[in-house]
Amino acid sequence: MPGMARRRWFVRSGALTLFLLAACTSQPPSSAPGSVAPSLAPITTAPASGAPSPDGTLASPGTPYDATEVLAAMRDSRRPGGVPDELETDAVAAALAAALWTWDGQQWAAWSVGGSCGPETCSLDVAGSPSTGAGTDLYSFVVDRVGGGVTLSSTDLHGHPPGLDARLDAIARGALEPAALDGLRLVSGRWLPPPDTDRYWLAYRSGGEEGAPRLDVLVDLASGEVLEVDDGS
Amino acid sequence: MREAARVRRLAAATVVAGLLSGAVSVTPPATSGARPHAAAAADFLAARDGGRAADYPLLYERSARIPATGESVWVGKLWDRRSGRLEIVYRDEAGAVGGPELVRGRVRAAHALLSAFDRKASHGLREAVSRAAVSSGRARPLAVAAWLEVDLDAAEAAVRTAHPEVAWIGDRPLLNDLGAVRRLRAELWSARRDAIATAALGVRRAVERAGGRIAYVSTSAPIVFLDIGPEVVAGIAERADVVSLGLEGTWQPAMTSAAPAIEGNWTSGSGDSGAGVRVGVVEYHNVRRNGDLSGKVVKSYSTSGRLAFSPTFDHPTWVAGAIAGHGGRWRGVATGASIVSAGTGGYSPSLAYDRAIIRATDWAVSPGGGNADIVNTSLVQDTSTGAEEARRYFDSIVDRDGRLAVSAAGNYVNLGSWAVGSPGTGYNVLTVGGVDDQGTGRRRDDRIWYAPGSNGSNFLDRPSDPWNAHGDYNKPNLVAPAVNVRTANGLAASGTSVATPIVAGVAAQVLSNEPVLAAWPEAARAVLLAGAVYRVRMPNGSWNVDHEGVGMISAVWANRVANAGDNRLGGYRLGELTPGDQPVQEIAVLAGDRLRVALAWNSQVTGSGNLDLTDQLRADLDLQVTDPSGRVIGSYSLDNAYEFVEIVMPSGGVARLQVLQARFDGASETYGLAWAKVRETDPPGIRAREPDPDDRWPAGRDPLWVRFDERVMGVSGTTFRLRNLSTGTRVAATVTYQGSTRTAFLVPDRRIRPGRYQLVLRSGITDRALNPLRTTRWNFRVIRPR
Repeated sequence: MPGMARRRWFVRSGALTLFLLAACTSQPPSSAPGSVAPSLAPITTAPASGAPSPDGTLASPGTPYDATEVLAAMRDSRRPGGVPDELETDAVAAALAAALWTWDGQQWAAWSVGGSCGPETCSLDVAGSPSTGAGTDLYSFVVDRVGGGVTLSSTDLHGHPPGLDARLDAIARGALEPAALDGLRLVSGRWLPPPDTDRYWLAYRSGGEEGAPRLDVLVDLASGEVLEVDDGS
Repeated sequence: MREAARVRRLAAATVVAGLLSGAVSVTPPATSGARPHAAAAADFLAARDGGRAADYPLLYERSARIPATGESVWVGKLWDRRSGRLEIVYRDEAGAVGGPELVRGRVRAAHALLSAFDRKASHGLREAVSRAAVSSGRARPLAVAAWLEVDLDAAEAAVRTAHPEVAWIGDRPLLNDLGAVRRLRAELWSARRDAIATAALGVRRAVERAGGRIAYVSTSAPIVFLDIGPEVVAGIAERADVVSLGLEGTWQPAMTSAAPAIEGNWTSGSGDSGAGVRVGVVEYHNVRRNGDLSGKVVKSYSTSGRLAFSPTFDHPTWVAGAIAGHGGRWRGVATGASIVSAGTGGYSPSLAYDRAIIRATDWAVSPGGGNADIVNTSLVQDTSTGAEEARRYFDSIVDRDGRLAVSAAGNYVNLGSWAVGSPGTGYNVLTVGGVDDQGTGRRRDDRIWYAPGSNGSNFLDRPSDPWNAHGDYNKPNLVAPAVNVRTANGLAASGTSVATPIVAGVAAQVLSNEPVLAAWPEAARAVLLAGAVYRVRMPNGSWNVDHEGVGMISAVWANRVANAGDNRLGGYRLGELTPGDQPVQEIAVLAGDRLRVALAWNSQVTGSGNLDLTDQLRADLDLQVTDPSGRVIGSYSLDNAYEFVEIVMPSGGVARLQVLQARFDGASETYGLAWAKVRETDPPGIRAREPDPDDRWPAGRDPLWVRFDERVMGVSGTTFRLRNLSTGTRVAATVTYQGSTRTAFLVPDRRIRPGRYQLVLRSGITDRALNPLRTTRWNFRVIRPR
């Protein structure tokens, strides 16, 4: 979260660890694409996504798309003007494919690609949803029109099992002083791609008016620790 | 697939800007068999409807999915050259081809395998019931929203029958008088309220027998709120009069932190003040009645029974100030409009649930309450959990109550997501995104408000949402200034919260000038879309309709468009379609006009057979524009309740706007069609001339000439004259015009004698947009040549 001032809060369960939101660069082997469950399947208490951890809460991220699939998706875009022609190259598709992590390594049930070009740079947005009920992952890329470099400019990843947020909320509330989250409600959680597997930014909001407190909390699910807090000041 | 992409781009390339769609649901289906999709679809239509496959060219295609099954399908819109009709064709991965009935059949088959609970309950509710089933101890009641099957058509029909003196088009009155519109609206509202209350009685009895309670029955839409145990939900779902069930959602104000105060550039400053129009401002807190809003807040209400005002930043007053603030420097867009303030008694978890917001909105639109013509919601709801009752409710108050709903797209920091928030996701809601106008009045430096890592205006249409099954759903619809905007009483902040009332204020102007639109929200929506004439770039300089919609609102242009019929700079028409109707509107255009055409209609929340757990588009309408040269440009999206085309006219003449039906499942649809002919409105001017005023001009130094600052028409001996001031007579001369240099030449037929002369340019000279030159005269002296 560049440009945002950070403020430390007292954490009960251990010292804070400084964390930097890094654009993912490492590229572990891709998981095999999986089939997509019908979206209206009855809810059960079992994990919805086939994640490999025993209780279904730990992520098993993978990059399930190859460059050919990404290129086909870019060419198939029906946005006005589609994805700009100049972006529909093997090199750009390969760069995107390497950066498109999903929480469980499975392909999204539905996804979309769109983009536009300015004088110097182009933008590419890739959005995917694992299934109804889960949130949507959004990857935003910048492509340098001269050098051709592809940079992951931001991620906004909500495609983890929706039930996980309650557990993350419990970790945060258990780790922070009660006053820190007093009157605040968890409105969303964002998962982070490798190398930050199992880390989540949780957005707490009061719903109140201007100046009311808000807090973003970075939780490590594997260790059950809060790593960082940010009150937006 | 490459060929398909080429076809799509060819169509898109000729459109300067069009709706549509951002995102495409990709999961491209594998091509089944040897036949390409388009050819297979044409074969299917030829076999079904006659003719040859060549009679059915492909106009639009995409990959899609069937929400109920997750199946990937190809869908195309093909043009029947013989009848001029559009046909929708689907093809599944196995190669099966069919019309919309193919998808409907798959959905019905999938639903037939499910229990009523799994079929009718939202994902979030099913999950909550599931969790409760495995938890120990006594489960707490769930806050559940239930949509009921109510025959609102019959209730409204009785009112229409009682008023034969009124001209009705479909279910809308045709009255150009705000007071008369409101009186009829009140009768219709009462009829619907009574029908909803009667329908709720059956559910009430069942709920109370099961130990639950009805917490609230909406007076505007067929929705009731229940507090019931999780074990009761499945039984309620079995009832035939329950259409769907959802878990209530919570809300957030769509705003961000305060920022340095700089003046926005959005105030109209014109005489268009929105006089007489009532705008409902739905918030947690109430709007203050002091300062710049004194005398403007005509009614206030709180669901808690006690008005509550914000103890910190006064969000409601900031929002209302953008509409009707009338004091000092920080004037609103529609200073003549009235504000009705509907609050929930402040913010707390219990006051921010659907039932509180919907109850406040019920009051805002009720004839004995706010009686608002426009409803502004600078609030967003978390939609990632599937809580979609509010979206559907606001769609209902547009379709059924005939009110214009204007809502914020939301800001990234509100919910930590770029997804557009509910009710801005509604089909019938006019959804507003944000622009950073850099604090200047220049449009050149305006940029879409988008700063990843910090904040910005939400734009993401999730590919998984049921209303986005074909992937071309596109919100926000339009944009307005959102950054560092100061309104009433000096309140300043940034957010789509303030962009929204800016648009609501322009809408108030439009309704005040054209009251018939107060009963035709779909037509008002079309007018505002056509009138959003200013295109705004992304921070990297690109155009991106995912973020921008159709452009930035313009009060001036919206009001130019809001004139029935075809006028010099735009116009609109409204009406009702029945199956097969494909109306054509012919309009006069000039070469160079940037023609913007918007078509809007509504989704419906009632009616049996709704299997989507949301409201339904019963019609898929499309829009084609044929320019005077015969070129055809269309907008053919599948998931939207509007279509939009923008093209530059290559020549003057008559352009043809046609509404097409690609799918029409209901008996009728009301619609609005609006167009703006964006052209220069400044008169032409003089860039250079010889002789200049008061020059001494040697006799015989011909020609005399004038260079204009743009191309003009109408230059002749009548409009460009030379007069001898000594004799008072006109000098015979030959006048010519050279378009390439924008220069008019005057050569006297005979050498003129020394003396005082006057040159005259008359207003018969116009630019290509027909703006007349201001009549100009100047004197000079002719001298003997040296």
